[in-house]
Amino acid sequence: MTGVIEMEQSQGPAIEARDLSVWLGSQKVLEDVTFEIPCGSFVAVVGPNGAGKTTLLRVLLGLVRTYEGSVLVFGEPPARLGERRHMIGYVPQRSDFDRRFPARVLDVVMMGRVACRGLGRRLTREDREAAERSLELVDALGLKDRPIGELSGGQQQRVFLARALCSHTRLLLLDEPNTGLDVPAQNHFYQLLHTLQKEQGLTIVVVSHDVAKVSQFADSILCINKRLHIHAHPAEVQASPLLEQVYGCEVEQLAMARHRPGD
Amino acid sequence: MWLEMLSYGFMQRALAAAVITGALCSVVAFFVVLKRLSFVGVGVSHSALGGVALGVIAGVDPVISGGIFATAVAWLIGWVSRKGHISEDTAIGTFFSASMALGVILLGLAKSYTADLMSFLFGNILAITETDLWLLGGLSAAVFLFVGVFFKELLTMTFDEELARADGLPVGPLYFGLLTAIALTVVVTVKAVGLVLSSALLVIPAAVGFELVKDFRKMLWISLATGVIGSVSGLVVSYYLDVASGATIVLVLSLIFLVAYAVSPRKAWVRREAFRRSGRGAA
Repeated sequence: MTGVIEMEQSQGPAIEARDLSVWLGSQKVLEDVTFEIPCGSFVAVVGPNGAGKTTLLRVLLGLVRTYEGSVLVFGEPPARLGERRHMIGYVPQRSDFDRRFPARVLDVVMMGRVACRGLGRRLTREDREAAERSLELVDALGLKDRPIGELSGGQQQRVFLARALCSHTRLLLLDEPNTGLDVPAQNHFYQLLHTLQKEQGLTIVVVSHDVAKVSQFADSILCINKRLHIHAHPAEVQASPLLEQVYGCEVEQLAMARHRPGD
Repeated sequence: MWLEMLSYGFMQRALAAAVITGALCSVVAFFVVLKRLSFVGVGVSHSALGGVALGVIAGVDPVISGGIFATAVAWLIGWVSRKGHISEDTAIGTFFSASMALGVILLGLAKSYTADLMSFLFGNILAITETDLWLLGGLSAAVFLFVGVFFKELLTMTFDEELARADGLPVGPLYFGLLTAIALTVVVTVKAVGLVLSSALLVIPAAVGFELVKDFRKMLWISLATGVIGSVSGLVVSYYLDVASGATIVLVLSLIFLVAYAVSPRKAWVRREAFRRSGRGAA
């Protein structure tokens, strides 16, 4: 693990995008986006629906490859990460798994070890221990024998976070992780991410449309609506008139965002 | 009485075929049920008739030609539904009736005793030869090997494809591997229960496990037990009542499913869950 961290530090930024344009079919979803995300930082990607936030994550994961310009994750294009791919953990908006799927929490987390163990290889005690450690990190070790479908939305989201953490994860990508959660569960989840950033030194990129919520935790905010409009500290972003331009008509949400708690 | 039944060579082969078929189907059914591919199973099994008929016309073992044809149809279904131009159920509905129609016409043209349409549609487990058994065994071994080696990858993909893809698992090849396994399983069942009834074996054993337990390991074992016990006891019952064996196997399995559904702890759990969600919201 220490080897991985040293390598990561010597390589500069965790993510680097230069003049990145992305097509989905004939549609240009992102245009000339340039930004850098340093290792160990907590970055929020905000923007209205259809702004290309999820697509950006999918490019970083190597799932969308129809782009121009360059994008580097740990110094490599996402499709050529090889073994280092397992340094990326992904938490989807809401996993569309069948709530009746007959698996326990620990089984679901251990699925996060399958790809890094290698095709056709059996999982070992080491994998099980790694899964238990990441459940402990997200404060959910007590749930490990429960059927996954019986958990509440907040508990499930923490289990998916543990799944994302249990490979050799150094970079966490999260897509609207708070969809469908109530306010206490949302706060708990972001607090957890904050702790992971500080204590584990993880780089965290979270997609959200809730500017107010992410402003409390993020080091910087990437504001996109097809193009990158601002990449700055939360306070600067909120003071900028560009934010309204990016969001267009969703000004009410911005009004709420300006009264962020803790200011 | 048992000894008398077992003293017939055809009955020994039929029992061996029932065990192989039951075991293979229940393992593949595990993924068919969890990944909701039962309609794919129906489509592929009916489509196989076209390939079986081609084999009869060309003088090739119908299990081999049916296997190749069913695999091709399964891949076509997978490819069409992945590309997204046509919905999966439209694709299946079209392929399966078209290739069944092809099969019926070709078998009609063949006009020979070996080309008995009814035995392909509904099976004739008592007519299984030693060569058939070797073929069944070989195909089953290939499918068992695939599922055994890639079990955890298949399970991860079945649970959430998008996450599996993000992990870097080769989801496309795994999915097409699973479709191939379904296609090969279908042709293995031709002799035992026939193409029309084989889709039942590709669902019911795992559905029984799914109703009874909430742990996939136990579900797999229950599925296996249901498949083997259902096939063997269906065969024995059909022997004593002198009725069609394939249909009896399917009816016995259906009966087991009804009992499992009646005692399923899931129903109570689903009710409780619905109550909890309506009372306390999504959190």
